Amino acid sequence: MNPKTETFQKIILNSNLILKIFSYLEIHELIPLERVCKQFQKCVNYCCEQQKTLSFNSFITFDQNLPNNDVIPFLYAFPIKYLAIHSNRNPCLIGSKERILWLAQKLPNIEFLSISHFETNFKTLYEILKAFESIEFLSICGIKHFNDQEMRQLGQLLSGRIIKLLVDCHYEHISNEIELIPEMTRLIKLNIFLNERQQISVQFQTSDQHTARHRSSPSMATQLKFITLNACPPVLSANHKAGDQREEQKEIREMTSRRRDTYQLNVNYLRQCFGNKSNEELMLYLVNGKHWDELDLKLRFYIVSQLEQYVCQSHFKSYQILPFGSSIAGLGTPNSDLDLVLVPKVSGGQMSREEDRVKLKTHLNLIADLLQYSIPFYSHFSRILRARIPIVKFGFDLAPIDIDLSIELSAHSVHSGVYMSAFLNYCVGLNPCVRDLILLLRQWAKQHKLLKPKNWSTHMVYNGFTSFQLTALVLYFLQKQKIVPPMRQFLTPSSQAFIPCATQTSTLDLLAQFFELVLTLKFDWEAISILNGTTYTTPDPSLPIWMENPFETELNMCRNIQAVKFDKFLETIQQSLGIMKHKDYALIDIFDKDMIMNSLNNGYKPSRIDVEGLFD
Amino acid sequence: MADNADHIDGDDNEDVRAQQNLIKIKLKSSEGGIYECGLTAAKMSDLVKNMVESLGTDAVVTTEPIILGNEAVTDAALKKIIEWVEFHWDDPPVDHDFEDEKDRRNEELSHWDKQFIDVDDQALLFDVIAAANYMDIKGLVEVGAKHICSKIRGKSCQEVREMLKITNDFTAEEEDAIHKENAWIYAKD
Repeated sequence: MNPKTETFQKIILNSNLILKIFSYLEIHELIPLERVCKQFQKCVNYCCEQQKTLSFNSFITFDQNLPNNDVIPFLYAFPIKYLAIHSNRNPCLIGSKERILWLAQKLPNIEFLSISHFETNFKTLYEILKAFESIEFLSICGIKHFNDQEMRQLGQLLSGRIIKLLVDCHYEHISNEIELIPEMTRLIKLNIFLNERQQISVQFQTSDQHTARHRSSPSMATQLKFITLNACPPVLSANHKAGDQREEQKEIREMTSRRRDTYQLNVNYLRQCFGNKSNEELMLYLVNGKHWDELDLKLRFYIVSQLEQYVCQSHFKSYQILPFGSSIAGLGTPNSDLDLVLVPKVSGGQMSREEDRVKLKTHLNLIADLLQYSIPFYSHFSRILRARIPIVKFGFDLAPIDIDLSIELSAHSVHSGVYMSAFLNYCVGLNPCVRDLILLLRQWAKQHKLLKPKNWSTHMVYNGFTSFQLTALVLYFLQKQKIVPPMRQFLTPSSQAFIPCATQTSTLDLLAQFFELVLTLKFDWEAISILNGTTYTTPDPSLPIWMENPFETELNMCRNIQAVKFDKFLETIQQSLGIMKHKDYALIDIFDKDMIMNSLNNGYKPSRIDVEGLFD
Repeated sequence: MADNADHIDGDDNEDVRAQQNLIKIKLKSSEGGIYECGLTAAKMSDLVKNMVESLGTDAVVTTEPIILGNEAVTDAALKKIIEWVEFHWDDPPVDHDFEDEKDRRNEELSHWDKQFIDVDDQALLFDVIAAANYMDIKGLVEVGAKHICSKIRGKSCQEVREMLKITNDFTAEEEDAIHKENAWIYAKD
């Protein structure tokens, strides 16, 4: 290698580096690069050979069981825009057969394949599944119109290869997917999604019969170790969580609908389900589907009391544990974190801030040690002691609940979060639209990646909205609408009691009004105070947004938010509002990530933000 | 990860890191230029870290500069790299338990990093990436790789070749054959 002659050749020479660069591209972005030069071709092929997962149109998220060391981590979703699309917006396998077969050849080592919601005939599906020679885990959703014999044929095709199978039958009324199971001799793990208890028993009867009479049944019975029955989130009718006790097999029931992940809505799927239903119905589904039930509440109560029992009966006798955050505010979802704070029951002596911090960290460390080493069912400890408010984060093993614990050393300054939650809870109680609006907006923001992801690395500063900050913005809007009182009135009850405006406005209209309000706010020089429900001159015009911290009024609650993210927030609002202004818009459109594309197709004309107007 | 353990209970370590960064060590580029760099910052390079650990901190501080022999480590590249590590040495280490790799892959670069890496001189850019790779500075390699990805994403083959100054070593027939096979997946051309 001659260092000076061809400087540019260096990167070309080093395939190792090319692979590193390629690791940030998706497979469909890599394949066109094949033609650049031979070295690129080699590297692209190498990446393709390493890829182990592939999904078509799948919306189920898998957080486990995925092969390690994949090129595209977790599940690589092949964009369906490259496939032929049937008139019902589902990909059509018959039309895309050649492409998929080519892909199967290009990605020869796929171990995990997931296909959902597609149109096909038996022959095509058979050939496609045959082409993916190395699959071990198949997730399939929405096979239909196959007869039992065809199903068994499929089973025979897959029998030598598949060891894990996930079948989703709740989506179609008729489903005989179960027919293929007895054929699979190597199956060790089986997941079935259903939504009716009745269906389960019917299907397991078939399965039992087969087990009894089929020749491969003995091997199946010994190899099949896990059967998972999942209840799906309610779609159109109320459903039951179903379980089936089979003694000879070890059975694990996952709470799939309450998993740790924060997967996004599958817009296409919802479009189908709610195609001919009103926006209100979709809203109710989005809001209620996310809302938690008694079990969630009880679980959290159990955790708090268990922690209190351990922590407050030993070293921290004069302390108590208070929960706060969305779970207390009445805005909980089954995925919500549980925020806890350890506060003294009686006030201690005043300490200097520095001493305070040292003591606080020592205490938190002590508690974390105590929980980590002597109490079962808590894991994934992470001590974030350097933050402004030091916390210990950990997970509860029996249910997907993440817990944040912090300490308040003096009873004088009872944790502001506790008051905030109380205020939120009060507001939610005032009018049902408060809860609906907040939950709907959170879903909307999550869909457009405007909210802090749940598993955001705790060591990194997040520069966009957290769900609390969004909620605060909604509160300001609701204060403007006189639906909820300014926070000051709640904290210091005065003679003039707050009379909530008995609004008849629907939540969807409120949503549009909220978007409008945000766009008219002049964030350049207006700071928002939810304490008074007003705006005032911003202390620092260089920041994109200033929201007064109601407990330390000189501080900005939103100081982490950077202009890039904030502008994206405003832009998304602008687009959503553009859609909502359309006379008979479909609510699902504002949840669509490719909103602009769709809004153009449907004749919506999203207008740009009127920048001049902002500076008038 | 062996070094996972030492950032779990951070405070002492954070102080130590800050203090150590006041200690300056010398790095020598392949062109002979010698540059000073804070110890903690320099240890973001696994190469330097291993050297420092095997030689002992005292030896490194008092003796000769560390020689980075790879041809990619030019004076200009090393200066850039030191600028980057001096800005990022304070970054909290990544907690693997809570990190979602897929999100990290898709996360945009920070504003500072974007400005840092967006250099007009392509030779320098490649040198920085290659040198960072040689010095095993994972964060900087990621920044460079993401930057290049953002530039080649959605471009046609010819545009990519022009941008990265790559010569096409396929014959026309070979190229057509590949193109015919997968034309449907191309973004352009």
